[in-house]
Amino acid sequence: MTSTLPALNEYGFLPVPPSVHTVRLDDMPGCFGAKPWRMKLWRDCVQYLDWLKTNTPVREVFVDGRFLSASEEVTAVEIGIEFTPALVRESGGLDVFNVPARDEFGVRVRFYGPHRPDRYNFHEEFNTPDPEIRLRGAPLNLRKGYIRIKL
Amino acid sequence: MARPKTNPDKHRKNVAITLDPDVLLPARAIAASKGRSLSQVLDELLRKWLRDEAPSDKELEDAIDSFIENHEQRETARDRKPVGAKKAPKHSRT
Repeated sequence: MTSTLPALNEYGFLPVPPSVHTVRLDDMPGCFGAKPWRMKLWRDCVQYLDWLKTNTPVREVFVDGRFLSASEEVTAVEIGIEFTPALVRESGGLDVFNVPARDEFGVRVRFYGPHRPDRYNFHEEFNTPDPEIRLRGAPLNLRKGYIRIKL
Repeated sequence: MARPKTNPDKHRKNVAITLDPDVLLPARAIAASKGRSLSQVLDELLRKWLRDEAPSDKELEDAIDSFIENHEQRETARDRKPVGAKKAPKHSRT
């Protein structure tokens, strides 16, 4: 189920719960893209999402990075994609994902295999604020929300 | 004129394949004697072949692990690249 996003909390993050906020692609730009460089980051990100939709069977991505905060230091949008055997079969292999996404679309792509939850898991990273936030008095166990977009 | 679709929900694709006549003719005849089209027989044979030959979930999971590991290594190396280093050339995408 999709919803509109709640306001950022006192630390400039999406509040939790829920950890993941599901939104439609069309609802995104107005939320975080008001400033010119943010608008450009989002336009580039949408190009990558369009590319994914056209060239792969991926129909769900997770979005994070400082883009999803009140931070002024935003340099990239982070995109998380889950790989399952079914997705790889449908994609005809993994080669199609070998795209220099940072050069071509300015997005930092993270991949995760749910079959190996003990290995790199972008969900944990997306859920955890940068350590610097503690300098602003944030509690050690502070968690932040991130976004799921259905393509 | 093409025959009407027996199942409009099936989206089959036309393909051109080449078969030796000594396979094609008896195969078509035997298929017809059993009330099947050659396409149906080939479809069933290819499904069985896919079940036997396609990578297992475990093999695909191992391939996913390798892909993610390589991807993260490339990304980490890129993060460490000194400021001002030459940018990789853009690949053309269609």
